[in-house]
Amino acid sequence: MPNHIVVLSEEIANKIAAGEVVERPASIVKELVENAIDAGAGDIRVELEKGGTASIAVIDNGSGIDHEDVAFAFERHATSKIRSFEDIYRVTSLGFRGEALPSIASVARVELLTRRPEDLSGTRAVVEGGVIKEIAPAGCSAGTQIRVTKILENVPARRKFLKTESTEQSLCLDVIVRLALVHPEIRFKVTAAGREIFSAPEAKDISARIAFVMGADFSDHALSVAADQEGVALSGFVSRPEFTRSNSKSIFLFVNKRFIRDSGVSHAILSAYRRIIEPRRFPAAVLFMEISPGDVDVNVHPAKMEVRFKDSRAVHDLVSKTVAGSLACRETAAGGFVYRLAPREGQTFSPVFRKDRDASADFAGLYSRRNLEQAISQDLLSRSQVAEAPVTAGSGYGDKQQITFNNYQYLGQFAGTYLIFAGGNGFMLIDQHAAHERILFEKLKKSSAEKVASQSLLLPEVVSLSPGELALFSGCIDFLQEIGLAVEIFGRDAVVVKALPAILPQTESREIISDIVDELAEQNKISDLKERKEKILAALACRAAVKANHVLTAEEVMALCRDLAETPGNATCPHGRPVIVNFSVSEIERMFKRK
Amino acid sequence: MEIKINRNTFLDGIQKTLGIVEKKTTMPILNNILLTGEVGKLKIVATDREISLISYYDAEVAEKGEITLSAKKLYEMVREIQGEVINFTKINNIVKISCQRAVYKIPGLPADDFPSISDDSDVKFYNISGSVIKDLITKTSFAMATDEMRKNLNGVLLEDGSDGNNCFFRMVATDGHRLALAKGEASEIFQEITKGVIVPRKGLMEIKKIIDENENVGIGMHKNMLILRTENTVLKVSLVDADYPDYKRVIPAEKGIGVVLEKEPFLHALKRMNVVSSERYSGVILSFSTGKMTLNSTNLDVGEAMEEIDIKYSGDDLDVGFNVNYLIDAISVINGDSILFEVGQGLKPSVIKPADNDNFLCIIMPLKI
Ligand SMILES: Nc1ncnc2c1ncn2[C@@H]1O[C@H](COP(=O)(O)OP(=O)(O)O)[C@@H](O)[C@H]1O
Ligand SMILES: [Mg+2]
Repeated sequence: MPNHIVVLSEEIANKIAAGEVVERPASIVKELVENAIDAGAGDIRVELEKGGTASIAVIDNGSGIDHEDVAFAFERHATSKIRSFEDIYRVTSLGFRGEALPSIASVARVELLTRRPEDLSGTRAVVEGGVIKEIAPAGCSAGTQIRVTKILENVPARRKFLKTESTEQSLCLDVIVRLALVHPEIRFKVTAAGREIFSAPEAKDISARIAFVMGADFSDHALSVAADQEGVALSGFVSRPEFTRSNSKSIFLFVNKRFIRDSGVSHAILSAYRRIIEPRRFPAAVLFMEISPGDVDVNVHPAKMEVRFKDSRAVHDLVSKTVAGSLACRETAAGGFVYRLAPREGQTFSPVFRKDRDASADFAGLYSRRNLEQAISQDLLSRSQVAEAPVTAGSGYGDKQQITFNNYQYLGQFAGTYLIFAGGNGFMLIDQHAAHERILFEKLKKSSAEKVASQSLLLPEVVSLSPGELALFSGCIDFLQEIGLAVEIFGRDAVVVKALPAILPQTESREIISDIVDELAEQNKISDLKERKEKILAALACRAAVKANHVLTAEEVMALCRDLAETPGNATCPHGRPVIVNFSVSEIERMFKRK
Repeated sequence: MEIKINRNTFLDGIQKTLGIVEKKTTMPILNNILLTGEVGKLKIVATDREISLISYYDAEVAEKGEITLSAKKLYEMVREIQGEVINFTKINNIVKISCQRAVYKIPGLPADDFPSISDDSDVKFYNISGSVIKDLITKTSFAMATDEMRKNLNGVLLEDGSDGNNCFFRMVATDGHRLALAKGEASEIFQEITKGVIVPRKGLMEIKKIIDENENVGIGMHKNMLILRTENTVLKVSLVDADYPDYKRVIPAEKGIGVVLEKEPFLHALKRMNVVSSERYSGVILSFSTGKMTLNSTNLDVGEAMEEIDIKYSGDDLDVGFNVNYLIDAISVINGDSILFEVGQGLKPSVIKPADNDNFLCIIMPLKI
């Protein structure tokens, strides 16, 4: 039979579009909450069941939808927000494609109750699998209530890719938190299985909201950022260098009040911190950019997280310069010192930033293009290295060599990081961090099976978490208790640490908790409980292990070797990186062209 | 600017600044020290804006002037110079340093760019002996938190603790696992710090380094800075603007079971328990029974370590575990021969102090095993 070109039915077209818009519960939450914001709501409630995989309800007190328009709202490209293509460049509302409701309705069951404040009666509509099942007048309070159920049930391929309920729930919360950050005037409340997991009261301004949402730790360590240049107004807060995170998730970027991800802007922020925070640590930041809608294209991706700047170079430079400036100012503001900035002869600009041949190399590093390019390539390099390392906690037993130290002699430490041993067949380098990580990992594993020494704290430490993080955390408290980490939930946005595993004596509760949370956020449904626990242990081991660039005494090296020899799987670290590199005599002889 | 100065004096003077000048800074001038030639004196100023050191050294000043130079480079240069007297001249912003036949040149930054140090002319200074300050620091600094994020614990609490009869300073440090508290004699009530101030770690370490045991020190407060003054030196330390935890609440209200122990034998036994292990910590279980105390290592995989010490004890049998290092740290700083160990039961904290006075105590949380 010949293949005829046919026009796709509306139902199928919606389902395809849904693939782009409705990837997971969090995408639905995002669209519905954005609609509520566009509708001018002052109060938005979100109710999640099973992390948003079973049911999502969004209730607002906004403008409501006219009875006549309800059916229309479920049609593709039906929107009340723009009329012509040119309007796209002027949009100030969050939605404008008219795609969300029909897309959601094509992959779930949507029940809508809506009434405009000026109307006496409202409308109830039920749409399922893209088909309108019911539209009828109904009584309800002013505003709109949308309840979405049977989520992705007719798209099993996609449903299969959902992660654990707690991960999905924390993704939903992430979405709401981002919107809450930019809408201080709106009250938000989120419940999961009937329990309140996030609530933000009306805030007097955006900084009050940021302080509330990001938590006390961030606001205690925040520097403000402000610049207005060439049509770009930049404002917000960045963390002081001493406040760092293990990933870039605490960097929030907004363009014209939309949350976006942009590797260029992220890079600009990171480059301002380079050299003042440790490599592979990340700052926290909440940055807002106001750009005239004509200079930025928000129509790049339906999920609308990406934008395209007309002049991305200028945006990059502005961000990196402004953040670097705030970080530098931090230094002038500290203490009771007054900075002398009196201009001297022949000098027109502030001498603080004056270029000096070598002394200012550090600072120049933040500005010059050449340095920046180098920084970018270094950054890419380090990224690719991270990406290559397979995360295979606990694997690698038996299939690899087991390190022994028989007939090896310790020669010394190289670069503060590698231990050198010589033997009859050549020499070997041991990465002290990787080796120690494996030892601690195995000990932690053993202690979670047996009884364990735990150091009680004199002053229990309160660690603040975002609501999404707290949701992830509550699931693993019992397991942490088993390894000697006694933690209790403390209010709505913090945990309190009461005891630490004794084998992690030098580590800070705050760091341990943030590592565990980062690790939990990565995990998905596919990994079983055992694997998940092992990944947490791997994160703890990594935190507690001796770092690179740390001088070890001969006794410490002996202790490390003794323990390493007795540790199973000792040829790789828990993340799968090698612990040892061997150089055989014959290899060395070949290098010297003796053979 | 033209100065002659003794090489060793100059080298010592620069060396004292090395701990203060910033290493990681986006303001290059903070890597520098300010050198000022005054009548008969060379003044050296170093600051990272949190801590400032101003010191004066005898010098022959032919022409007054000021310049800033990289502390590290200057130090390396002067260290290489042999000879007794150094000639130091500045032309534009280049400094020439010569001694016998060696001549070095080093570029500087103008003094105007250097942060000015706030004035302290109307500060009231209290007298305290250098040895008392150093002793307070030794007895507490080990218990400070190492985490820079916990600003309030990454330093010590210094407060005037005077009661009706005696005047004294109190210094407190804690990292959340243990808490050390020391008292030191003062001559009068230090009014400005009766509510306590937090001295940051770096400042504390500089104080310890710069103050000499035998010196008399003037100590005072100016705005948010603690100022220490000796004959030739002024050290200013910005205090931490944060709340210190209420340490009094942590001191156990109910005394544990008191055991008097001889310091040295106990300390040595503990050090033997402190086997080097890759975990970088050793646990010890202390078992008290009539007439003796047994120490047992918890790191069984390193081999059993066990030791008995005869003590005066007649209470019920009692087992309690500790991180050996916490015990060693606390006992090491006690001056007398015998210590009083108030052992907490259950998971309650224990207290270690000198047997014959209450100038020091350390509260330690047990290990739960
Ligand atoms: N919560 C709500 N309150 C009022 N009107 C709404 C709400 N949700 C959706 N609508 C109406 O339905 C239309 C379609 O919504 P949607 O499919 O999300 O498209 P878009 O937001 O891109 O316009 C919107 O333009 C708006 O008129
Ligand atoms: Mg929309």
